[in-house]
Formats: sequence, C-alpha cells, structure tokens
Amino acid sequence: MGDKAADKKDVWQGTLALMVLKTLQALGPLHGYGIARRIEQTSGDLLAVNYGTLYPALLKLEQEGYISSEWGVSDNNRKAKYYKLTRAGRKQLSKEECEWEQTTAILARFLAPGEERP
Amino acid sequence: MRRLRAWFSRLGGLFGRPRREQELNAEMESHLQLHLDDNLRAGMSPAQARREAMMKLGGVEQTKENYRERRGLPLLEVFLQDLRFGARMLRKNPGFTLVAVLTLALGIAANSTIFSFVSAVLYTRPPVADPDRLAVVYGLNPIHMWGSGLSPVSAPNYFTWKRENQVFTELAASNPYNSLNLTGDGDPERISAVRVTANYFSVLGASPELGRTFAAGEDHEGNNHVVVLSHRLWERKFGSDPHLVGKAIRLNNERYTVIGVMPFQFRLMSFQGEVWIPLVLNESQQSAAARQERDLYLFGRIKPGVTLETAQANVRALGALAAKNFPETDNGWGANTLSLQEYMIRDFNAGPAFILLLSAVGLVLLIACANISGLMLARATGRSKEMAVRIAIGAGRIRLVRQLMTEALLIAALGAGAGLTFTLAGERVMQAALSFNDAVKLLELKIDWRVVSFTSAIALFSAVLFGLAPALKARSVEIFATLKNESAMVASNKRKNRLRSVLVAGELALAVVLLSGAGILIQGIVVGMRRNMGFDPQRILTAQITLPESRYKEASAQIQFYRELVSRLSTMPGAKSAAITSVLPGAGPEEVPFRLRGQENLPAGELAHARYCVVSTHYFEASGTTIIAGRDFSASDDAHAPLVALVSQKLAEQFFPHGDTLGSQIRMDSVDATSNPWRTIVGIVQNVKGWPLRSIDDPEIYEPFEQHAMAEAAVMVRGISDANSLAPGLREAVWSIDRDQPIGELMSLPEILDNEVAGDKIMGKMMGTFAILALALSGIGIYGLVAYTVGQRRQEIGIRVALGAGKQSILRLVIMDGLKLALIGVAVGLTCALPLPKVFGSLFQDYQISGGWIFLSVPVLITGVAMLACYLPARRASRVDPIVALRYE
Repeated sequence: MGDKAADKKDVWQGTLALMVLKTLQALGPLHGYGIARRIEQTSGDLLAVNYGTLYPALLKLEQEGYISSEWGVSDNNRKAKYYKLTRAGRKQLSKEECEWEQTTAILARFLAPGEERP
Repeated sequence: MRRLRAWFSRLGGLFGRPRREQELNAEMESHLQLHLDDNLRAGMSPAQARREAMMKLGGVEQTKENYRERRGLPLLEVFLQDLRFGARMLRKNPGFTLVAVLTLALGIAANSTIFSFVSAVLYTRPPVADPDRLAVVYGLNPIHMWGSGLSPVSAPNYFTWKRENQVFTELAASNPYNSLNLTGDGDPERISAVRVTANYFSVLGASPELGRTFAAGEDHEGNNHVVVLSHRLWERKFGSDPHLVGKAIRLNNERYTVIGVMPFQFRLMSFQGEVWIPLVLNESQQSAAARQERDLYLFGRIKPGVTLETAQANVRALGALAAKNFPETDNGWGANTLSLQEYMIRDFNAGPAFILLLSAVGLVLLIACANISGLMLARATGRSKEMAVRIAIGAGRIRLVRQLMTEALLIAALGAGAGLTFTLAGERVMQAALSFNDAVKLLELKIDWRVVSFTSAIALFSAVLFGLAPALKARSVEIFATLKNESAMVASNKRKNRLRSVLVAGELALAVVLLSGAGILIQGIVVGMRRNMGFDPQRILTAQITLPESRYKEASAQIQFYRELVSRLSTMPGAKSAAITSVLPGAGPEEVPFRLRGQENLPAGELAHARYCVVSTHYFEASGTTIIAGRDFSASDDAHAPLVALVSQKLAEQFFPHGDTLGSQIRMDSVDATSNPWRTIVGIVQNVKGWPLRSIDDPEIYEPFEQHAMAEAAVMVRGISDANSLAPGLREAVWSIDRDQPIGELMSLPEILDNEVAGDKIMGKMMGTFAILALALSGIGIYGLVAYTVGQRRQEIGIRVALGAGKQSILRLVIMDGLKLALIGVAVGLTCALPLPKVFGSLFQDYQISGGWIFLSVPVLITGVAMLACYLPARRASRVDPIVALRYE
C-alpha cells in the first residue's frame, strides 16, 4: 500500500479549497469524510488525500465565510458535521472556476506541441 | 475583507477553547466511524478497518494540532501562553518578583515624577485665546550677567515697532513689576500691579469675569484712573462683592474706579499682579534716557497667515534697525519674538536643571535595569536545566528567547503600574517642595496621558534592556553539558558569571558618575553658602516701604520721612541699629552702567556695569560690612555737601589698579546726566555678594540717600536678640509717622536669602536623593552577585576548607573577587565623571564648581559600600561546613 501511495500526487494547497467548494456544489451538504472520499474518487484515485489535511482547509473556508457547518445524522445513522456552501461560497467558486479555466487554457497553449511556429 | 473576517474569527478562536476542543474531538471521532463503517462494508476485519482509517487520516493528533493552529492566532496564542507561564514563574518566586518590580518601580517613579514636572512646565497652556498665535517681543541684552539675556523693551522702541512691524495685528505693552499702596478699609497694604496699554486684554484675548477691561484711550493722562482687579484681590480684600464694579478704591492715595475683575484662571506666570492699571506712555519722549529705560514686555497677536518664522525675521530686522539708528543706546542690542509659551520656558531658564535632573534619573533607571538583569541572569543559570530540557524536546531557541522576553515584559508592566503609584506620591512631594516659587506653585502636576505614555515607553525600554541579556544567554545553552552533569559547572563558574560581572561593574561606574555629579553640585551650593557674603544677615528684620507720590513728591519730604523712621527704629527697644537701602544685600542684582573720568564719550554699550545701591548713613554698620579704606558716609553728606560715593574692593582693584581710587570721580549712567552727576569716591568697602550663591564678586557702587532721595526703599533693623520680635515695633514706628503708609514684605533677612536659594537647595537635595538611590541599588547589585557566586562555589569552598584553608583566607578570596569588580567599576566611572566639573561650570555659571575632594571621596565611598556588600556573603562563605558543603549536591 505504501508504494502505491507514493505514486499518487499530494493534493497541493489552494486547489484543495476549490475541490472542496466544487464537491459541495455538486453533492450538496456533506461531512468531512464524504468530501475526502469524493475528491479521491473524482481524481480517479490518482490523488492521495491525507484526510487529515482536509480539516484545517475546511476550517479556513468556514472562517472566510464560504461554507457553513452543522451537526447532522448520516445515512447509516452516524452523527457527523455537515458542511454546505454559503452564497459567498457559490460566488467565490464561480470566480475561482473562471480563473482556473483561464490558467489552464494559457498553460495548454504553452504546452501544446509547437504547431503554430513556422 | 475575507482575510479580516477570518482574522476576527481566529481571534475569537482564542476563547471558548474547551467547547471547541470537544467539537473537534467529536468530528474526528465521527470521521473515523464513517470510514470504519465503509471499510467494514468493504469486508475488512474490524482491526484492519480501524488501522486503515487511522492511516488515511494521517494521525489523529497531528490533524488536531494542524487544526488548532488554523483555529487561533498562533503568535498571539504563544504570547498568551508565555504570559500565563511567566505569571506562574513570577508567582512561584515571590522574592525575586518583589525585588525586581520594586527596583524597577523606584527607577520608573523617579523618571516619571521628573518628567511630569518638566511636562507641566512645557505644556501648561497660557490662559489666553489661541496661545500659539500670541507672541512676546523682547530685547536681547549683549552683556548678560544674570539669567537668560532676554530683556524688556524701551518705550521708544515699542512705539516704533508697533508702527513699523508687518506681522502683528496689534502690539500691546505691559510693565509688570509695580507696587501700589492700597488704602481704605483695614490696614494699608502694598499690592503688586501690572501697568498695561489699553489694548492689552484684547491682544491677549482674555475677558473679565465681572465688568469690562480697558477701553481705547484709557491709557492717556486724565482717563487713566481705572483699575481691573484680580480674582484673588477681589476675594481677599473686597469679599467678592458683586457690586464692586463702578465703585472707587484708593491706590497711592488717588481715586481709581474699579471697572472689572479678571477670572481666577487668568494667571500668566511671572506677568502676574493683583491689579491692572493703565500704562501711560508718552510717544514724544525719545531721549537717550527713555531709550535706556527698558521695562516693557510686548505682546503681539500674529496676523493670520503669517508664520512665527516670518514674525521673527521682521522683529529681528526692527531690532537691527534700532541698533543702527541709535548706536548711543542700542548698539549691540537685538530683538526677537517667541510664542508666549516658548518665551515663558526660556525666561524660566530651567533648561540646565531639567537636563541635569533627567540625566540623573535616567542613570538611576539604568542601574535599576542592570540590577534586574543580574537577577534574571542568576535565575537563568538556575533554570538552565529547564531550558536544556525544553530544547531537547524540541523547543526552538527563538521560542525560548521569546518566552524570557515575555517574562521581562511582565515584570516591566508590573513595575510601571507600581511606578505610577509612586509617581503620584513623588508629584506631591515635589509640588510641596517647589511651593516657595510663585510661578511653579501655579503648575499642576498630574498623571495625564503624557506621563502615562512616557512611563509605558520607559517601562518597555527597560524590559528590552534587562530582558535582552538573559534572553540571549538562553539561546546559547549547551544542552549536552547541562543535561549530563551539573557539577561540571563549578570549573566554568567564572566564565558563566562574566556577563553579570560586567553588569555590576557598569552599575558601579554609573553610580560613581551620579554621585560625583551630585557631589559637585551640592559642594557648589554649600561652598557658595559658606563663603563670606560681605555682610551678616543674622537678626536683621526687613520691610519694603514705598512712599506714595501724592504725599511725598519732593525729595525733602522723602528724606524727612526716612530720616525720622531710621532714628525711631534705631532707638526702639531691642534694636541695635537701623538703615535703609535701595536693594537689600544678597537680594538680587541691580546692574547699572557707570562712567569713570576719561570715559565721558564712551558709547553706552561699552560701559561696565556695577551693582548699585543707595543707602542711608549707618547702613554699613547695620549690615555688618567693613569699610576697608577711606571713610563711611556721615550725616554731613547731605544734599548741600559735595557729592560722594563708596565703591567695593572689587571695583577698586579692577578699575584703579594703581591705588588711586580715593578721590577719583565716578557717575552712574542709567538715567539722564542731570540726576546722576559726578561723585567723588571717598571710601572702599568689602565686597558684598549680589546673591547668596554667586561665586564671583561684582563691582559695586554706593550713594548716600540724602544726596539721592527715593520714594521706595528697603528698611533694615538689626536686633539685639532676634529679628522677628522687632516686627510690632517696626509697624508702630512707621504708622506713628504716617498711619496710611503700607508696609510690605515684613521678613527677616535670613528668610529672604533662604527663599532665594531654595530652588538650588531643592535641586541639590533631589540630586542627592537620586545619588543615594543609585548607591543603594548598585550596592544591592554587587551583593546579589557575590552572594550568588558564593552559593555556586559552596563545594569548591568546602574543599578548600577541608584542605585546611582558614576563615581569613576564604574571606579574602571572596572579598577580593568583589573588590576587583568594584575597582574596575570605579575606574571606568571616574574616567566618565572627570569632565563633569567643566560641564557643570558652563551650566551653572554662578556656582563655584570644583571636582577636588569629590573625586577622592566618591571612589572611597563606593569601594566601601562594595566591600560591605561583599563582606556579608563572604562571612557566610567562611562559615561553610565542609562536610555539609561536600555532601550537598
């Protein structure tokens, strides 16, 4: 298992927040474990989320007012803290999505094989 | 915005810690449970499921720690944690805390008290409208024997400058030092009066509490019998009569109509009087005599849009113009202007005293800081094991420095708090001590925001000062050596205590500087007081008499009154002799320029000045001044006899080096030549000090009263047993001649002289107090170090004793160590103190300053104190029982 983990990329800072926000937008209110699993699955198991790093990130988003939290009960009757997007969070998400798309578009152009060069 | 919100939320995270902690635990628990459920569903065994969940989380404790760091503000949290820890440490060592806080509080209180005084002098706003725009225009005296060189202005210059300046909306003049006889109900009284031009109050922007102030034109002859009262006189003499305005009172036997009363708050330091009356000036009077009568203080309201600098340039130009146009009288003189407040500070002439006091208390604070630093270093050595353990389990060294600095800050905060309490007491003592001075009496010493900020600033500065050394030392703790074996320290004791030794030597050096400074100053005062004054003030009663012009206009009337008075006084029971004089001996200067034969055409600016006295026959007998050559004034030196004068020995030596004083001619140059004709010198008298502490002799000239009558004089009666029992007799003698004649300032001469030197004495006392404080603190400092070293060397001393060292040799061993330190400190301090006499000599020109025996006695004193401080722990060391010492570990 250790060698398998080594192949996976760490989730780098900054993008984690975007992933959390996107996950909450897609799935609605969700607990920390659920968010972690979702990110892992979406990445096709290519990203190794050390679940622990998620919690400070969640706290930061909450302190900034992008998400809010509430205790609730999970499907299989476990008590869990549920996070959901706030309006500010929704706005921030669309802004960050936009920025991210621009960044990737620019990078893509750089990285594309030099077909435009004479 | 978002960041700010997050920051506040994190700040909130500092509080309500237990609840949040519980919530975090619950969330982690729930996370693990959810993961566990999934893993079980995926078919893992319970143990495997749990292990996998924990690993994925990456450690519960790490996660919690990361989460906590994000929750609060780590820096602030660490600070609070240090604060809590520091407070605990201080509580656990009450002895250390008490000594450190008290030492610091003393140092801080000394500084804050002096500062509150200085701040009160500098920042008390004069009670006038918009004081920053109110300027005082003054002359600059080219030869100033006394004080600051600021001089009042002559009437011709006032009129010219009033007309020609471009910077003031209006220029008012006042002549503050007059006295009037107030007669009517009760005993006649002499009151101080300020003569002012009619625009004075409007220029100052001060309004009366009752009635009105002067109207335009009331400063002209014929309209000028109006008076404005001060609140104090109105209250004291007229019982705050609300209907007084419009009624008449008698001043100098003339009717004056009361037109107003000024409020209690209207007090202008040295420009204060009990009444204000119009100042009548004659613009056409342009004689040289009028130009030399400089007695007007000018106040100008600066025009809107004009800066003080522009005003100064304009006034300087006017002053230069006057010097150019009237070289006879104004050559060398200048003019300038300052805002009222700055002028008062300058005139107060307290600069040198302030500098001296502030440096003294600054040194005391430095010594206090060195002491506390030493204490903290000692404690740090005791705590080096603790520090080493902390480093070993992962504390950063910066973190340790931060913790120690926090402890220092805590001590500083406590010291500042206690210091402010002491300051309150210090201000009371200071206020009481300074109440002899009318100007200072008006100051309000209080703890305002300035004093509080100053206190906080020096507390912070002290914390850095005494916290830095121990904190830096904590950075260099050697973990392995410290943890391995503590007793290895014995050998390296000396090196470890080097920093403390430097501190203690520095303290002693500072104490030497402070003690020398105080000693030189006090010596200057004592020597000044001991010096032969040229007269004997004991058993002399004095009073001021001013004859009103209305009754005693003619010289003959004045002469008759005083002749009668002196004869009654000298024959009254208990009196030995009596006389009158224009200026009491030792009671201050009256410098007047004079000419000798051959100097008839010298410009006024180049003339020498002398103290000038007009005295009655038998004056020298009454004052106890010796006639050195020639003869005394006699009854035959009257208005019809040839004009004569006496001069002092100093004048004779300085101006007649060939011994031809007697028979030479001299004349004063102050007023017109007609009233100051040539006089023949008939005698030489002993030098008399113009001021009790004056270290140099001034040239002096005496004239006989019967040849130079005056209305205003000081009366002197020498008693057989004591002065004060003569007072009823003196009153009786005056009132038996004229029942309406007021008697002013009935005081004994020693009392007057005491008042004059009161400020210097208090200065000396304060310096002495601070010096003793410094001595005590540095003594405690060296004691603390030696006692501590002895404690550390118990084992070594035990071994020495076991090997046969006697008590004497142990005693010598310890004392020599301390003594070496003391001698280094004294040597450094002495080197720094050597230039002090020169500095003081330039600051206090009146004093006779010399280092001399001070530089001998101070080192001896300090070394003595240091040896005593070493002896106590040394004695304890010499009684060490080797068995106990060697077992002790």
